[in-house]
Amino acid sequence: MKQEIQTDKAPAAIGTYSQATKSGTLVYVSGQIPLDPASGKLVSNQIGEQIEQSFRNFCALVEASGASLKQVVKLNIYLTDLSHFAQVNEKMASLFPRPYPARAVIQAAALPKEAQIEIDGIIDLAD
Amino acid sequence: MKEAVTTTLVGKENDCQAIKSGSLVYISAQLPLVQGELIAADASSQIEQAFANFRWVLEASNGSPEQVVKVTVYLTDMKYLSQVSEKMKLCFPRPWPACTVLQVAALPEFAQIAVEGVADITEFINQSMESL
Repeated sequence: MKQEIQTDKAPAAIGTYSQATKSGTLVYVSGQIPLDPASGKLVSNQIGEQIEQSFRNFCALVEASGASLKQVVKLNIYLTDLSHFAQVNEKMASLFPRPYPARAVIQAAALPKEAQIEIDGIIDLAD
Repeated sequence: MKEAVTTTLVGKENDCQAIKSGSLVYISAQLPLVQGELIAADASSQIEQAFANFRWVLEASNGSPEQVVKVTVYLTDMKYLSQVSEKMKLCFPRPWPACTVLQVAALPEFAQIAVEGVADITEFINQSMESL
């Protein structure tokens, strides 16, 4: 049975979707763009801050799911400019314990709210 | 064990529209095709058809809209985001699925939208077991 995961530590959904859903032991996290959860606005136009905030929002949903980062099994990272790839890697290395999640990084033509990064993923709560 | 779901109404012949694995159904990205051909060029019709096809494949997989846990929507123009949101409101009951939307450079068949997703059909499987 599907359950909605909800937290005010991540931005409210900007459309007809849940921040994350849980089904069995799996949690599906919606694409997190660098919105400030309080204002619902982009935190900054600066890519470093956008990367920070997207991961912060993603992590808030990991926490709201009762999970830890080592339980993240898959990440999809969408960038509007792949030249920011190295910064994303650095951030991930500082956040995630090994073994790292499986991951895809793609350059997208555009993202909602003109964000420069969007992160979604799957968490496995088993054990 | 993986099981393919194919329907002839959407997609091209021999396309696998979904895969069932355990209680999960992975629905292939659905384009606004009818019998393998792209429908009208306007974005509204395409959004309508892509979600209709998604729904069709979901039902062919013994899934129902409330069981969809994740949707990913690929658009060739982000300006259709609000129309997609409106359409999702009609397609899925609350609690809504998790969702990711992105604008891509191009999609197969020159479509303007593709919709893929994951459904958890545990309940259907439980019911089937009970009826055995």
